[in-house]
Amino acid sequence: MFYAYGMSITLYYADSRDEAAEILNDGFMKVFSNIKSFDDSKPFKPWFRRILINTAIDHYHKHKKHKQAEHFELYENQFSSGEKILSGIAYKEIIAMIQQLSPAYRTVFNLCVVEGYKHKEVAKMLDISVGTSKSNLHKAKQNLQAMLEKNLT
Amino acid sequence: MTENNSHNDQFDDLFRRNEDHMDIQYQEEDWLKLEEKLDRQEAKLAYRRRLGYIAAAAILLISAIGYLTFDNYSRLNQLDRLMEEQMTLNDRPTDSGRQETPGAADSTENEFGGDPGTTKPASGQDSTADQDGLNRVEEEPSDIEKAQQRQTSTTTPGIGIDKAEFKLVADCIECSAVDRLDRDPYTIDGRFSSANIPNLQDSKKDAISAYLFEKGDISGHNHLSDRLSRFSIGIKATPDLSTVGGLSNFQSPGYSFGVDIAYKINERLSVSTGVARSVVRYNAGEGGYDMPGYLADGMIPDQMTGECILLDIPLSLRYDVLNFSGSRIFATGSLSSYIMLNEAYRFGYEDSYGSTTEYSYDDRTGTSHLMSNAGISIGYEHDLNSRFSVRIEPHLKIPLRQVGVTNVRLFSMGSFFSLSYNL
Repeated sequence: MFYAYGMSITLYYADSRDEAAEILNDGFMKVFSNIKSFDDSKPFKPWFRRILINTAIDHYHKHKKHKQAEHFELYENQFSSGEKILSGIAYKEIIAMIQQLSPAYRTVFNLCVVEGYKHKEVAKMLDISVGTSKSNLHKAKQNLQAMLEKNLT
Repeated sequence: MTENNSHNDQFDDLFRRNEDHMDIQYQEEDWLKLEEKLDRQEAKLAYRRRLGYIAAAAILLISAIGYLTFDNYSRLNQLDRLMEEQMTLNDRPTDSGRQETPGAADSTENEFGGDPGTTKPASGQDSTADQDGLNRVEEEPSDIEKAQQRQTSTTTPGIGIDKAEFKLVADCIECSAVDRLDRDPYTIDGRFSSANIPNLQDSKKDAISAYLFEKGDISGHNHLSDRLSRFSIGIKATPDLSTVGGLSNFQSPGYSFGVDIAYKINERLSVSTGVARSVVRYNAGEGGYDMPGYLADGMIPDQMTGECILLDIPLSLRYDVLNFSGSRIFATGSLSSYIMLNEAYRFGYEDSYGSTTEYSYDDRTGTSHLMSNAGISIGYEHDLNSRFSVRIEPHLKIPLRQVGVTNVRLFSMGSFFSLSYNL
C-alpha cells in the first residue's frame, strides 16, 4: 500500500526507478527509526510524504551535479507514439520527462510545482539562493516544454 | 497575461502528481534491498551496544583501579602513623635515660661518633644507656618493636648510627617508604643512594652506603620491582592538526583521546597498543584526494574540506633514551590502523565565472585501513610516584596508504598528554 504511494513520490525526484527505490528504502528506514515521534491522531500519509521529500532532498545534496549546463539536445525521444494529446500523456511519460531533467532543475521543479513550496522555502531547503531557485524552475519548465513539443510533433 | 497564466496552470497541472493514476508494480528486489539495510542497521546498533559495554567496563575498571589505589595509600598512611607513634614511644624512654644518667649521654655520643667496630648499640652489652633506656623499653615490646629490634640487632653492627636513623634507612628500603620520600633512595640502575635520604649527616650517609654495598643489598629495590607488573595502562589526549598531501594548509585543529596499555620488555624497551577516538579536520586541493566516481557523478571537485571521526589503533615501540631520577626522555615509533566511524566532506566546484558551488557528503562509512600511518614521537615522562606517571609526547604521523572514502594521504601532528598507571 505505502510502497506504491511512496514510489509515486520518489520517482519524481530520481534519475531512475532504482534510484527511486533507494530513496524510498531510505525513507522507510527513517520511518522505522522515528515511528515513536509519529502522532497517532494525525494521518500517516502526509507525515510519510514529508519524510520521503526530506529524504529525496538529502539524496539530492549527496548526489547532485553542479554543472548546470543542460544538455537537452542529447536527450532522445523515448516516449511511446500512442497518445499525442497533452491531457492524454501517460504518467509514465511524464515521469520519464521529469527524470531527464538535471537533479538541480528537477528538485526545484518538484518542490515548487508538484509540492507547492515557495521559492524562499525551496532556497532554504536546497541551500541555494532564491534567484537560483527561480532560474532553475524557469529552465526546468523550458526543458519540459521542449520535451513536450518534441514528443507531440 | 491571463492566457499566459492559464497556460502555466495547465502545464503545471499536467506534471502535478496524482498517485491514483500511477500503476506501480511491487518488485521483490526492492524489499531485498530494504532487508539488507535493516540488517546493516541492526549490525550497527549491535556494534554501538558493544561499544557501550566496553566503555562501561573501562569506566568500571578505571574506577576499581582508582579505588584500590586510594585504599592502598590510605593503608600506607595508616601504617606511617603507626610507625611514627611507635618511634615516638621508642624514643621517649631513651631521652629520659639520657637526662637521668649523665654518663649515658656520653655513651650515646660515643656510639654515634665512635669507632664502628667497637660500638654495638643494639646489643646493649657495653652501654649503661642501653641498659637504662633501651632495655627498659624492651621489657614490653610490641610486634613492630620486636621486628625493629631484630633488624637492629642483626644489621646495625659496624654502621654506627642510632635507631631512629636506621629506621629511616629501613623505611627507605621498604617500598612503602619510597613513596614518602621526595626522591627515590635508589638510583635508576637499582643502586642504593643515601644521598636521597633527608635529615642524615654526610658521614652517616657514607656509612650506610658502605654497609649496604658490603651487604650487596638492593633487595629492597628489587622487591619493589618484583611487586610492580611489567604492564601499565594509561589515558591520553592530544590536539590534532591534520592535512593532506604535505605538512601545510592546516584546517582548524581536531582532537583525540583514548586509552593504551604498555608492556615493558626490559629497562629501556616497551611495546604498547590502545585505541583513541579522533576528530580529524583537513583541507585538500585538487589532486590531494582520489574520489570514487559514484561520490560526485564522475566530477572531480576543485577543493575539499573534511571532518572525519575515526578510531586510531596504534602499535608502538618505545625506547627510553635518557633516564634520570624519577623521569626519562623516550622516543617512540608506531604503526596506526584507522577505522573510519564517520566521514563528512564539503566539496567545492569552481565554475568558469570564478564562483564556487558546494555540496556535502556525510556518511558512517565504517571502513578500516590497516597500518595506514606511521608515527614518530619524542617524549618526556615524569614519575608522580612509584605507580603513576605523566607524559608529554609531541608526535608526527605520516601516511603509508590512502584512507577514507576520498582516499586521502593524511598527515597528522600534535602532542599527547598522558597519565599512566603501573599495574
